[in-house]
Amino acid sequence: MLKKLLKYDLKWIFKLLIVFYSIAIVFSILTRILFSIDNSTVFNILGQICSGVTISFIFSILINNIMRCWARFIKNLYGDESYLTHTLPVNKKTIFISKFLTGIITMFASVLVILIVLFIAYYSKENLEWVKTSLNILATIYNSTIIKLLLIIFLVFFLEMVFTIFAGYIGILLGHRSNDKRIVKSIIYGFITYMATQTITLIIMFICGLFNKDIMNLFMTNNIVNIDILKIIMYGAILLYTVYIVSYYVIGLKIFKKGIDVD
Amino acid sequence: MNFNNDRPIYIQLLEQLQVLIVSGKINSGERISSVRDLALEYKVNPNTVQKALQELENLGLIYTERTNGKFVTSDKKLIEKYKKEFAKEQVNNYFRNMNSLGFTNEEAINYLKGDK
Amino acid sequence: MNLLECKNICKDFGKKKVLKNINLIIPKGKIIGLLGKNGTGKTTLIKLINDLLVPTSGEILINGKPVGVESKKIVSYLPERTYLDKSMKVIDVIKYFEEFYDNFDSKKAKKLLKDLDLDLNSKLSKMSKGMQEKVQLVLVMSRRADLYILDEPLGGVDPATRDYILDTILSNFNEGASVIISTHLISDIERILDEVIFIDKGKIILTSDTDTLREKENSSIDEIFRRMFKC
Repeated sequence: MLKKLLKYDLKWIFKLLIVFYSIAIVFSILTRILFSIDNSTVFNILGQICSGVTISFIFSILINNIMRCWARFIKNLYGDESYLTHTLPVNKKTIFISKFLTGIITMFASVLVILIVLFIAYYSKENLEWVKTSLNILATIYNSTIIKLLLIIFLVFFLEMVFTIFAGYIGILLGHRSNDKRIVKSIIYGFITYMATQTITLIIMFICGLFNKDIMNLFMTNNIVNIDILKIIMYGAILLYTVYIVSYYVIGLKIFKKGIDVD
Repeated sequence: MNFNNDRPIYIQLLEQLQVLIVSGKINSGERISSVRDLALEYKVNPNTVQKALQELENLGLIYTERTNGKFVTSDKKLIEKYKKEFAKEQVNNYFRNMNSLGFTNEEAINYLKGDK
Repeated sequence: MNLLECKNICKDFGKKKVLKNINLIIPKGKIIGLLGKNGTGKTTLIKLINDLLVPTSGEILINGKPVGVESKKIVSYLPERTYLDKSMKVIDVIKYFEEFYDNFDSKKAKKLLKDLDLDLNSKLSKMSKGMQEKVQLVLVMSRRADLYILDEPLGGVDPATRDYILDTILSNFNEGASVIISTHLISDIERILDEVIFIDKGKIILTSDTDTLREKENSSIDEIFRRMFKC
């Protein structure tokens, strides 16, 4: 049953995202081509425009992915369609897992597409050097190490996005426990959930900083960063976000299993 | 057929089936449609049909053959008896209505004969 | 065992008490009318039976078991609103029902849709509300269920369609199954009912066999209802 539910959930979300993916990829290719033509102001300007479009579509992918996950959650579990969803001979838990997996799978696909788009449009030695300087990393580090680091950063980013989707789910679940102004309350609860968890992150970071000068330096100064410390922080972030995501799942499931009142 | 919602539907259905039998529209010995078909035909609940058929069976107008369904009795005398009973009822109704208009029974009979 | 049993059901929305101590038993093989004016708790009761609401107190048993996966397998429910994903085509929805319900008869559904001149390839969003409602009725009646729950199946349809819907219900419900029909349009439907349940202000105020009630009061259910709830 999970497979069947997941199929319909994913279909609904990807139906729109696929369009955004395609456009982003097309423009990334255009950007690449236009930038690779040397010494032409016209092409350079066109390249800048395409580059802008590519970047804006990257943001569209992210925002749409998140919003559509939330929309599906509300429509399918509380809206008119919920009359069908909740009367299917399927466990509540299965329905819930499907929604969580949908968030993870769609976001994974989106981050992957974004990586590909960035790679097509911008991958070059000069740009890697630029990344190094902007991250304040010692310039002698090998490029392959930087790429690894970037991939880890993307993994953290992926988890952060999934975390955002799930914080929204929790907000929706809490907001829909009351009998009126459910959407407004969902937004408020979602925001509170998100902020509360991020505050915990900051506190944990700060506590770590008290014991490790290098971590504190990362926040307090503009000094050149030790890449190993950066990695440790990223691993810490991966651990933290995983813990958050799992707790959101457990809490969400608990609320959901108690049963819900649809409109 | 239109049922009158004021009276129990099964009684109206019973009357209807009785008329069909005594008038010969359903022949003596003939098989009666299934409950489900009758329910669809008269657009009523199958349980209502069941009840009406049960009454018919109690009256002896139909009987059940275990596997084949329900049949109209082959006892023609019985059918004839019910036919007369219904006729009598109609006549009584006629007199009652004429009485309420101020006719005596005799006047009512003469009225039918054409002596106005 | 009773098909459906509601024991002391109460449902509050905040301070508003919508259902007050409902006790109800539905046996097998009956067509039952759940009759009441709008906003008296009919839909709330039906939603509770279908796990769309959680009772504030009380217990609902279907075939002796609490509401859950097993009960959903044998209950076929027609809500009073359109509940299908409107971006789907009729044929997609049939596939959807086929996938999720073991007792769904897609051949029957296709035949009924054909009878109604509904095109399998048209998108739900392109169909009128009335057409969508017909599609839903077909889907619900094409399941071989033990209990059909139809919430206002006659609301807002023309008399011809009304007859067709009653026919569809009568000719398609599974033998031995029960049907609960909630409505405020009593005269159209009363001849097919075995039993009636009158509900008002969140309480059940009368349950009776229809013919017994007619005999006792010497009038139609519709009239009895009107007399009882005279404004």
